[in-house]
Amino acid sequence: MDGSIVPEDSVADGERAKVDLLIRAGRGRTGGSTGLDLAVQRARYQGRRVKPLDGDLRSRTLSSLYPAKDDEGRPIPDGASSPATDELPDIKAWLSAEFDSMVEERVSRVLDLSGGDRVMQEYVRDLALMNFCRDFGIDPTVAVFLGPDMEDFRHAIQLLRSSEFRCDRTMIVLNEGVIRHGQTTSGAFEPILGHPDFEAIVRDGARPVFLRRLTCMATLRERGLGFYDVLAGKPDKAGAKASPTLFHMTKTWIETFEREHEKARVDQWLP
Amino acid sequence: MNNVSPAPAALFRKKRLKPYRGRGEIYSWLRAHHREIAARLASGEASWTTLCGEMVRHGLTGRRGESPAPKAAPKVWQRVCRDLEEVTAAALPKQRKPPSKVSRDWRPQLALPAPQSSPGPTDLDKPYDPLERIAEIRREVKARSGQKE
Repeated sequence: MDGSIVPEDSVADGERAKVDLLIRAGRGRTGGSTGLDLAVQRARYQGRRVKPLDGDLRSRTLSSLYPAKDDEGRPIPDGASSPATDELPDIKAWLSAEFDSMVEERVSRVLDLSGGDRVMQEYVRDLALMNFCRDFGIDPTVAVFLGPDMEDFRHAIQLLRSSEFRCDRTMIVLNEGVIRHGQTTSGAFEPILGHPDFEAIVRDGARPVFLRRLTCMATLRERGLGFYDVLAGKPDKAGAKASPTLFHMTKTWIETFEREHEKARVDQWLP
Repeated sequence: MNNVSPAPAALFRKKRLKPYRGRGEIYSWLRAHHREIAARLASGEASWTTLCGEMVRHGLTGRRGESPAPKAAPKVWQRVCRDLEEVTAAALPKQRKPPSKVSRDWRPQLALPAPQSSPGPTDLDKPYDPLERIAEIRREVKARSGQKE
């Protein structure tokens, strides 16, 4: 009798590639979209396909960075996808369609639902997302981005303690890039790092990662240069390559990012 | 109920392989994944058959275009291990003279702390310690703020 929960054809292919689902969680304005952008660029630079899912319809960061169509309306492979509206049923239908494609295509996804934790919590509960991923050979990772705001931290703690967001692979990204002008890095993050709840969730398995500020990030964005474009010596929209200082800053930042992720033993969690 | 268990996911992530003079793709791949392979072989999680399957999945071939084979791959692996040992040994301080070669006038110095620069196990060789991870970030955060520990 075939009473299997998992359709056979979806799991029979032993040659399938490793597929990751990186879910950005936590409140907005904490640099999560930029973090996902970095993960996409890194994967593509290293020769892996990733499709961005942009559920943040207010900022639409991933959609603008990875448009789905070119100027002439032709589809761009692995361009960002987004829901039709920010209504809950539309977001859920969009997530279902994207997760179905992810299983069929065996292409990793990064999911940005800025401030959409409630949607995600509901959806995760409805689908039993973590079990879904396990059954279809997808490795999910939840990345919670934090800035200096203690409210964001309290929200993140609540989220991580909820049963819906329990994930074996959880990263807490302390993002120096979003600390306020005039605030020191220590002043921003010491209250979080010394908080007993932070220690508790880290002891419980969440992996903390410190993401340094890249001071030239705004310049790169203005010039339409990706982080790895700079490394590869690609020219910007105007045909100019990054200057040696820009190159050095970006290279150092990426190297530090890699080292930090290796130290936290999460480098293999990225798509 | 007959649950169908999913087929195993790929063991290793694709990495940009560094070329080594006089060595092929298989050597580069084994060297790039050295730590994980050593751990998986030691724990019995991987065999040379599965590793060769993984190499095929990554599109690797030998220097004459042949597929990675479970008989030949361990030899390349031995070479990788030997080369890495040499790299490590080159970084170690030179061996001391044997006692028979030491001058009779030699006297031990007062006990000094071990040199800090001697290469020990790297952070990545140590088991993951969550509290040490927090301490590491705190050190980094303080350093970024121009504060001393």
